[in-house]
Amino acid sequence: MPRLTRSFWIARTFLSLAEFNCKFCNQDEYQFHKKSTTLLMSFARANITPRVCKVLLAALLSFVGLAHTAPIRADEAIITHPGNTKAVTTLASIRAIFSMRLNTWPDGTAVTVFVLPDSNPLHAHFSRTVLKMLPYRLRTEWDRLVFSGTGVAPVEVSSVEEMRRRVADTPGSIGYLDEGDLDESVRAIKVQ
Amino acid sequence: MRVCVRSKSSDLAGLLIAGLLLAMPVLGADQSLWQVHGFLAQSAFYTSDNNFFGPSDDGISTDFTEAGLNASVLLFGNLRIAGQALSRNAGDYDNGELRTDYFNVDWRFWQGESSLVGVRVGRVRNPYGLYNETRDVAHTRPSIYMPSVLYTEAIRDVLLSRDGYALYGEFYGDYGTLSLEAGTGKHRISDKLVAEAMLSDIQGLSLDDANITIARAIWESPGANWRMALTNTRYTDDAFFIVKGRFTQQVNVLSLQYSSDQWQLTGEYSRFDFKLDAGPLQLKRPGEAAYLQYNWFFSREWQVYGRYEYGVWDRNHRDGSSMTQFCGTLFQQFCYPERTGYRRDTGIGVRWDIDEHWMAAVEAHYLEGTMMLSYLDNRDTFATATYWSLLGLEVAFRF
Repeated sequence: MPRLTRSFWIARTFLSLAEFNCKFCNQDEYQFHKKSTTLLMSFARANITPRVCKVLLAALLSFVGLAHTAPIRADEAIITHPGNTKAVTTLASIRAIFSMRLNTWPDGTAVTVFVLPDSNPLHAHFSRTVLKMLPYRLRTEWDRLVFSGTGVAPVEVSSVEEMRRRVADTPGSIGYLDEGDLDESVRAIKVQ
Repeated sequence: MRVCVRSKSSDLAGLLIAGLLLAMPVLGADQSLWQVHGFLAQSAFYTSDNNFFGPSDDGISTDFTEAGLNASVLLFGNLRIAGQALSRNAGDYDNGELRTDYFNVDWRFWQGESSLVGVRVGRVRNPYGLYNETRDVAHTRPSIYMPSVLYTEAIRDVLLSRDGYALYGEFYGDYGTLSLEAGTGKHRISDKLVAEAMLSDIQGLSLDDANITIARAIWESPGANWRMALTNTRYTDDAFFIVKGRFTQQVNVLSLQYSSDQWQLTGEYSRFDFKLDAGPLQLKRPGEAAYLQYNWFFSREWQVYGRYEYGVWDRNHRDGSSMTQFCGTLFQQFCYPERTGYRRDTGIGVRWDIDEHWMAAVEAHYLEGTMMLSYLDNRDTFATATYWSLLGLEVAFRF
């Protein structure tokens, strides 16, 4: 059954590529990828006529392709200490702060930047959708500042709860959270 | 040979780090005020001919180890003191001696919502190209060894930092980011550096009063996907060879980089004009070098990269024929084989970022020419080979 075998291998290759290419996927996107391609593979293995299989394959592939580009989660909110009323609001300045280049607020207080680990999907999503910056470029920028002696790396927190707690406790802090996780202990910054 | 030797500031960086560690209870655990970072890398090389970082010719050389520690402390919100101490074992021209890469006081006297201006004084890093500031850390280099002609390993200390000052400014807006830096200072020279630069243990040549001026402008698009840099630097020294003369080198570098989700393309082009004007010895080298590197990010941990690099000492004689100009003359010691006048390097590599601390990389290169090949590792310039290949392996750790 050569045609079925070909479809099977196309689906199998697509699954492998999806795994390797999911550098910036969050868990939801990755699971979706996996489920849809496993479905594809079972269609390919099942005893359906080649033409039907091809149609199903094409339909599923395009659906998966669209799903990869469609946002599955909402943007994160930038948070700061409740007492910080002089927070900057332009995207360029926010980016400069998260890049660890600008290290004081307009009133002169020091900025303390909190981030989640690079491997955390929330961090990657925040970097790409809110900062509009590739996560690896952000990391390269921190490395450059650290190893040339012109700056420091941001403070890494291990969880969302720690992020909220430390931003709430540290004057001059800045961080990010899912909009659904916001509460009174932190103040959200609206980007202009 | 009389050479102005930069003295003993390895102790200064060590002092800074010791001071910081002792001041820990006072400064507290506030990571935004002070941080200590370090790195350790070990490489092994095999070459079919020519020695690269040790006796690699037809053998495996593990004579390339780098260990560094740096510290940074922020005082009063806008005053930073930072320093880095490095120990480097690199073939025959670096023996693991501890030294200071940089140690400076950085005063950021103006910082607003979308700009900052400051000045750095002390031993400051040279803002040269895209990679000079982080060339010692394996994770922040483009590959196991720096592109050889633009970022010559043999004269790394001269390129890396200077004792002087730097004035810098950064501006952020909808157009992206503009970073400007300029400064002067004394560049670091030593016996070994002179030997490397002149490809011989020159008898009777001495350099003194080393000066460098350097300026760089970088524009980054919003989000830093595009980066473009322009560097201009000038080195001058008083040269003494029978009579007093002057050595000057002017270097201009244009750098361009585009970063995408899955790949990155980097290219740097440089023109360097080297001139030695010492009485009867007149040496001119209008050089040129460039490289193009493509990185493909296969996954979060793995990347594959390929680079083509070329360099010539004389743009008007790309076959290296001007390297033989002193052969058979009074200055026979400046007679070199033609292959020292050019280099073409094609390489591919694979890099594995095991986790946020560990990294491993393996590379294979095919090279033509021996331009910028370390003299101290290959003392018989005429015994080197024109066509050679290289395999490299590196494991690195950082925190």
